[in-house]
Amino acid sequence: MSQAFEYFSMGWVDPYLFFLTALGTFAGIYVGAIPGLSVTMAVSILISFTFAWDVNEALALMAGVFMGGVYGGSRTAILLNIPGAPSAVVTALDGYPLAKRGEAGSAIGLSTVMSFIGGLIGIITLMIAAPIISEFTLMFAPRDYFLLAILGLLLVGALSGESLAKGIFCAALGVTLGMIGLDPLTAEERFTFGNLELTGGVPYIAAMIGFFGIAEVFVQLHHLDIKPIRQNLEKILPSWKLVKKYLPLSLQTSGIGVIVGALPGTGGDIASLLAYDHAKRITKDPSVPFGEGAYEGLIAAETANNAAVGGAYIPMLTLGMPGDAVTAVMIGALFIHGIQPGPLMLTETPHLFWFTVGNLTLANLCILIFGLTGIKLFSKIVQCPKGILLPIIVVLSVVGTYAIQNSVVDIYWMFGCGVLGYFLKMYGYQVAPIILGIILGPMIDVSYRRAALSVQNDIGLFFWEFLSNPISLILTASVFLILLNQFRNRKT
Amino acid sequence: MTSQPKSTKRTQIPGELVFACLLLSLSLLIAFYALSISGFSSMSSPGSIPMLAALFMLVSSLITVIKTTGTTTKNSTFITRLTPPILLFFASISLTYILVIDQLGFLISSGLFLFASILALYRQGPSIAMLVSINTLAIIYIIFRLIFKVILPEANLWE
Amino acid sequence: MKKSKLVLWLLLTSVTVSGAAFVHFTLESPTTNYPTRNIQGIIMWGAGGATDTMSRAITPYVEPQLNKEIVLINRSGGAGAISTKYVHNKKPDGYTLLYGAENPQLHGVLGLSDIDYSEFYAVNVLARGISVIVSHPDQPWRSLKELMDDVKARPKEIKMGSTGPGGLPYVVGAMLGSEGAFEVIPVPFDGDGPAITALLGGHVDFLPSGFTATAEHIRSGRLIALAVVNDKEISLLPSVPPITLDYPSFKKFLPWGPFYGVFINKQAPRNVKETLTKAFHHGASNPQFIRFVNDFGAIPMNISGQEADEFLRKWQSVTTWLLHDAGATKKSPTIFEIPRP
Repeated sequence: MSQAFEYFSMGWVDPYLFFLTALGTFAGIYVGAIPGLSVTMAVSILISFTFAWDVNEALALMAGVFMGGVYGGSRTAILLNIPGAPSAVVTALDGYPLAKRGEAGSAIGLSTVMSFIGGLIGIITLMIAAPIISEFTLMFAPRDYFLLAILGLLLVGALSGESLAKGIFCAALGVTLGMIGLDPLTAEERFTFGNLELTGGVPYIAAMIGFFGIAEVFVQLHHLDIKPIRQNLEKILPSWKLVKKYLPLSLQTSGIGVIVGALPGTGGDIASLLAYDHAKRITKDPSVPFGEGAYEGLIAAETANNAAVGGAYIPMLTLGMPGDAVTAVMIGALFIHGIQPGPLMLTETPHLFWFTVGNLTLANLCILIFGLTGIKLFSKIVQCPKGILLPIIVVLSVVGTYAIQNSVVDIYWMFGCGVLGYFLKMYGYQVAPIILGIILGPMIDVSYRRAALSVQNDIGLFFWEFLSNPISLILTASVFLILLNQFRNRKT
Repeated sequence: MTSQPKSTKRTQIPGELVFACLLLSLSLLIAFYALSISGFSSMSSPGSIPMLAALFMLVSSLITVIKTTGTTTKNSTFITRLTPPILLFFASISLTYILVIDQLGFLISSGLFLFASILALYRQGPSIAMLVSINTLAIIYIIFRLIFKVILPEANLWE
Repeated sequence: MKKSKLVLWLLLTSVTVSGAAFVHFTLESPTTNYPTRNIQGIIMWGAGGATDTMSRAITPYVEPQLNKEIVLINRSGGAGAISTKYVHNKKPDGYTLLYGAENPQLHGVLGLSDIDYSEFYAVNVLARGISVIVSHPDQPWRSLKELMDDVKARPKEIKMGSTGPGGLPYVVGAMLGSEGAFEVIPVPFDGDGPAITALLGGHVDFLPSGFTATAEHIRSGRLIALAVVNDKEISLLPSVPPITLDYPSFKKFLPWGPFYGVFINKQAPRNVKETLTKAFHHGASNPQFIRFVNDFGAIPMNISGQEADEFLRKWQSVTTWLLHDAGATKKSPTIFEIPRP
């Protein structure tokens, strides 16, 4: 135990490691906030950058960037309606309406505190339950991933706005967009029309920037002459009463975040979607309706995606398997630094586990500090005259899209999605279900087909397996209960 | 279940029915392509989920078309409601911008775009537009190109 | 008053940043030798994959040799076909490198693209991976032969983890299939990692996989290795028999495994090729890099030019015909004038 504490505090007592973690978190917040700069990309760059460093120093910096980056995504989501990262998509749903109402400051304040709480729950879970959870996630079969994705997709009911038909249309459109390209299982071309560029598919960050950012720019052009709403910057820090009121919700959504984050192949984006769904279902009367600036929605998204960070480390530290794209890159970094990531890491390089836990805790604390400073300045962005702000958003969207993989075609996609998104919005369609479809579509596709292949395309056996295993049974039951509930709610 | 009394009495936005029909035809087109991926060969064929998605698109867009017919149009035209001149201008200048960015390079094309659009939207004279453009470009260039080493489109007009 | 303050502030920033930019540009002023500016490296697979890790591991050893930075970018998609075409279409001036794996050699027969490595100059084939056939300890098999006999006894019941057509498990599966009846249920995953996770969780029964990703699981006893797809034992897995022990006919396919290399357009000028080849050769000879490759469960190769071309051609010939005979190709290797091994 004292050994564990010694490793835990390594990053706290060594001023240089302390500095690196803090610096990483600070840089991460900006990486996360700027669309097109992703945490995965930043950590990849850090591999070369920290090449000659000591492995602990490299890991400290990376942990900071990871933590900060996931949090930072909420900034632009709230202020400009452009999610800085996929995991901040859900943050935009209620965060941006809050900013439009002049509450950008308190929205950022709340998201900071909630990110901290979520991050903390993630770290605590990692600390005390990592081995159990990693064994648990191994039990998830392809059909369970399929059920999980379906659960996420049921959120469409909550995101549809006035017309469910329009919502379903958008979700299905998103799924179709997500199908473009080479089928990952058979390398069959889908909707590519023989074009090589299309075999790469639509990068969903480009679609996201288009549907959220550019579409909103076009909508805002209608209100060019309306003076921007004065932001209320008196109260930024949420009151203790408010935090206490939402504590039960934030604990639940953090829990969802950790588990989904720990599942290999699912990260903060899906975690926050499922958490949002959960919040929407258990909240009887939200502060304002969901999607119009409900604190509950913001809280669910921000706790879950930060809790998913701790979750993603679970399979990495216990099994040497990535929990998401970022930890996949970190595993590569461990190799380069001469550490063999695998199940023996816990016993052979024992310091790694507690050292990482310590770093993450520190990074999480840094989020609270950095996150709560400079909010006033950031909120001023929203007060900037629209005639200046809108062109800058377009340039930022273009550069951000191009930065993902240096592709001009991606910019065309982004712009096309923006124009389509504008008309959809004007005619009463919601763009959020499209993103839901793009994120969950590929997961539904491969996990469904994998499950079908495992039973040799035997339909009877396929459905029987949904009931034959405890995890599948629980997930199936949840899907049915939610469906039933939605039908009942629509009727009354 | 989906029909809410509110939405049937609603007046429609100009072009709403046309748009709904366009989406219906898009769904038809997608359904056609989804069918051509692998047909109904097996439960796990690459085309199965695309076909299912296309089916959902078809049904939901059909419902939307049916619900939209019969509503009356408000007293406004497509132009004033959806594509006012300023929007058309901004959309076309943005489109030009992304089409030439590969030839002119990031700095020149973004500079021209920012200057022209801020001049038109902010209407406070060329000097402010110029200053804001240069500053924005410089900050973006420093963050993306110098700090994060992202390669930005470079001019290849003279190569 | 307020407006003039804004203008002043903006002016000040402009002066500072344009100064910084100016310094940056003058530092990058061109001279006559290659390389005079930073080089772009396109990695054909996504962040965190084996190709990505290999690329990011070699690059820091090479940069000091070139005195320039190599900026690495992941451009996955189309199983590497998009990156391959992108680099091929760039000006052949040596400022765009392709960091790739074996995939382009199969793009032709899989109907993905007509561009393969014959259009490129192999700056360095860094290493080749070793494949192993792994299974879960709960399964009864302790050797490949036992597994194969069970497959024959229970056709279409045993699940094999796979990674899609042309992937490593697929090709090794095709090799096993060339030994006669081999009816398994292939369940495709997005890569080695997810497939191993599924094997650990018991959702598939066995898996041909890269040694890299499985090494630690084998060492910890969570997975067992049935055979190494090589013609002799490897030092990291001393007790695991080579596949040729039970199946000597496998010799004709070997050495076989995924490989990782750096390529430029064939049309690049000679001095560029020479500079790069020298730099990468130097980098790949670094003992630290060699240690990394070994830790990574791969065999260092460090070959270039003619020697690399021969290796690439043999690899293509073995693999495409193997896939073709297993009925997994869209176009025959003969269309691309690939000789039968």
